[in-house]
Amino acid sequence: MPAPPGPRGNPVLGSIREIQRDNIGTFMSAFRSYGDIVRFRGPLKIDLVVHPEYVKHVLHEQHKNYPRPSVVQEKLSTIVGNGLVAAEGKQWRRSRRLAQPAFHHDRLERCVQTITATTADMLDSWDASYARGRPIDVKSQMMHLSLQNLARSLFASDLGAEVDRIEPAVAHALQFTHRRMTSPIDPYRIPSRSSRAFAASLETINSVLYPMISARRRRDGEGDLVRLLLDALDEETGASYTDRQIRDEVSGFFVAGHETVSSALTWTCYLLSLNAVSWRRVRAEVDTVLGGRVPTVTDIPALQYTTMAVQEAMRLFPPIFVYMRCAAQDDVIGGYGIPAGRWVVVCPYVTHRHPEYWENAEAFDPERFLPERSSGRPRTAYLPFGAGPRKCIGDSFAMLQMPLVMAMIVQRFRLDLVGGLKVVPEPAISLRPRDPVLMRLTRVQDEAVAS
Amino acid sequence: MSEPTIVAPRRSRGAQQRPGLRARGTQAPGPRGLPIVGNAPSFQRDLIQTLLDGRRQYGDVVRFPGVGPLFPVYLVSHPDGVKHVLQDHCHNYPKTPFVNDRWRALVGNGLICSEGEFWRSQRRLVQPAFHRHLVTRLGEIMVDSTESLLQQWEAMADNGVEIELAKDMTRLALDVLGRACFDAEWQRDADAMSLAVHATIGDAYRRFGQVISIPDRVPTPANRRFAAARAELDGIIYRVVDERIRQRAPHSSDLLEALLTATDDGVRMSREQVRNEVMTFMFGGHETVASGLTWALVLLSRHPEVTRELEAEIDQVLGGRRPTVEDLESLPTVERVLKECLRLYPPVWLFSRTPVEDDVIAGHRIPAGAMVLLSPFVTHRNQEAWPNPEGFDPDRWLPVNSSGRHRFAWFPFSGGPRKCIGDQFGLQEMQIALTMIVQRLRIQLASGHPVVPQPGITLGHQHGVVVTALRRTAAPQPPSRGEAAAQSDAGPGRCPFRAAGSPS
Repeated sequence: MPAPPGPRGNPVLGSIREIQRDNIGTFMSAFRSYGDIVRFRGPLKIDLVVHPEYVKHVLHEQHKNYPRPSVVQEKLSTIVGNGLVAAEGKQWRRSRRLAQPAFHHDRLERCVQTITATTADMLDSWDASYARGRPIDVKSQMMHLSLQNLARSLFASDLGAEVDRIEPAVAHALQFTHRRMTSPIDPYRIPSRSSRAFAASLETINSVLYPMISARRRRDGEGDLVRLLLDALDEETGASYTDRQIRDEVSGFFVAGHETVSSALTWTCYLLSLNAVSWRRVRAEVDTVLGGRVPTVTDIPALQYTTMAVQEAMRLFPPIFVYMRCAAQDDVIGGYGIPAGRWVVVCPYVTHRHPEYWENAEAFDPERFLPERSSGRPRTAYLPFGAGPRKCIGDSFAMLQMPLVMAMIVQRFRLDLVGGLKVVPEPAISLRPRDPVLMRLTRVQDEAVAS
Repeated sequence: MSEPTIVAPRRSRGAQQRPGLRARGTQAPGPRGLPIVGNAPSFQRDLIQTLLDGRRQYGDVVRFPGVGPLFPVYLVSHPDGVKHVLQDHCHNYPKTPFVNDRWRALVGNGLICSEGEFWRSQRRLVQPAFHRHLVTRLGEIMVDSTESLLQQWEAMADNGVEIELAKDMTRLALDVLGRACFDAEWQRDADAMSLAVHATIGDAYRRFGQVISIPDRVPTPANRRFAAARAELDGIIYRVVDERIRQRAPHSSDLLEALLTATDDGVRMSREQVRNEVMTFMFGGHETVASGLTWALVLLSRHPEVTRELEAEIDQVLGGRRPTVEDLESLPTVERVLKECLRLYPPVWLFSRTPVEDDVIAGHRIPAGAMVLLSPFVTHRNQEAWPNPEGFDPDRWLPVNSSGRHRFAWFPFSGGPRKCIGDQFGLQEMQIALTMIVQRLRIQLASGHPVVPQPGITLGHQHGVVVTALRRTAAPQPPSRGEAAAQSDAGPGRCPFRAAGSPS
């Protein structure tokens, strides 16, 4: 079997420096030069898989041959223990089965009110910023919002002021974990200020989660995640879940459902502000569908353009921009040999720009998600939530939450990116804007008066 | 924002004078930059972003200290300040000498760099060249040139070959300009002529950035190369001019003819001055238009909703036929889109002036001899004049949304008495080219080829701009392509960009 084509790179280091400096840029230009599957040489032995068919092969059809590399799994588990996010095999299957009912359609629909109330609170606070004439940092606003939505909807717990403690802790822990995954020597093993800060962040996460869990133990709930976990019995031992096991699961949802949603919302606001015509179309839709009232479950299907705008933002900036897998046994992809032990990387950022499946791929064009323009597009050409059995469990929660939030924002405000501000994507664990995204607010009601 | 306090310039040229005593006004705020070197490194690294950040953090007048003869540099970005420099007090703000000297080496005493009474009489002489009677003829040239480019692009579209947009736009703009200047001669000898222009301009543009340079007289290799290229271009232009003067026959209407027949109080331009002005047109009018068109197509490809609106208007008004100059009035969206593109990516994105005497702008001191920068790129992102400044929104140019806008909030062609003489020519050329391109093709940025602005004399691109074109008459979105590839020839590692063959 021939080896996949790819850049030769540095004779000793291969492409490791390029990938460390700018992974998505390196992957994108490698795809441009070498096509649907690319081999990177050097100490970082990875094959980038771009074509939707190959993506399907790795993440879906042959997923058993492509577990996550143990290194990645180990480092994740420092934060999330052996919960759903990090687990493999039997443990993973059990966690997934256990959590599934929390994401049941009916259960999620009951979250809508929580989401809209939380969002309304945020928008009320924006009124104050608006009055002071200060731009807001949409990135931190969305971080805050998505964390509260997550806690209130999935855990039926109001974190209150604890949000301000756990939010930076989760962000910092993720950032450090990203460093651990990409550095040749694990920085956690070297005593330093940053490894101590990481330990402190883990401590903070625990100090918020454990009291939350014990508070929920004392209170009856209605089918939320924490309640499900409290009621669950271990299949093998028949024992209840320990606080530790519940903490692991819950922290996994913080990690997976917080920064991802906030990044997607931030990118949507950003892209809509640059594309004034699209913003007006969202606005027109929101006005038609909602008039001036708060959205409910039944409105969601009618918020079609709003939903497509979110989808399009996640196409251009997929929050999870890379999936790492490791070939368990020798395999063949597209006629090329993949030896056992080789890392196989799926990068939605690149696949989402594949010119055969995405016309004018660099453009922001929500309409490409219209049913008539989506027909014939393979499902793995678009994978903001991954694919196959390990596809994100919270995808429908996210796609319920985000259009609601966007609709409510657009209903009350127009957001304009501050002039001359450079917004740069930072591929850490999630693909988020590197710096604060400062945007100026205009209240819709004032806008109407002005014109 | 309040009206800037403008104090009449005061005479205090000596550096030994204590400025606080005579000129009022405070020192403008600004970033200190690094120790000793100040802002010099960030000017080098990313000039555009440095200016944008300065304006965002420090306001309407920003002072950038730094090491080197340029510094401190003052950025004046509020439209009132721009008006102050370009119009109200333009006599105190001549062009920065070292930049002007660079121009002079290229175009002699042409309009762009001449000063004083000579400049005024020259402007009077040249102005009529751009008057109405030539417009229709120039329009035809623009249509012709665009047509021949489009035929090449359509062939490339059919073969799926990528297009180097910036390069092709330069080719188009130079072709239009060459023919506008001397139609018949250019058509006869286009290749040699454009080669000579390129050879000269390549070197010349590089030299513009050099603050300190070895005098042209010193025969360094670079200086000799530049002198040789310029001499060859001079030879070509003088030959054409002399031929025309000798023939004295009624000629096709073009800019050269207009220059040769122009009179001011019965006085005509000298042979050398005609050459100078032709050179000025050549260098002032082609990279600028090329940059404007390239950015316009980049923006359109990024904003499909706007593109669709534009296509609808063009289809409705023209219905497939080629445009004429008269059609442009019925294509208001084309004009709005173009103006919006020139707002976000103005080809001449930076102007520099050097005050003769101390001055005060918006309450801040501007010392004589300092470098004053005016940047359309920065001012065009001013929140007060432009709500949602980073958004691409042609509708802001609708009459209802434009009333009350500051006249100097948008100045892609500069302003005041030294405003670009070819602004209408340039606008018209871009409108015609844009109309014809959008009418027939959809331009798409190649996936993964980043478009990064590069500051130069004109706003360029760090890695060029690579696009693909799709014929609009063929189904704009071939539905079978994706499916077919997914099913059958999910070719192993096939590169989608090179699949369709190579340029013929």
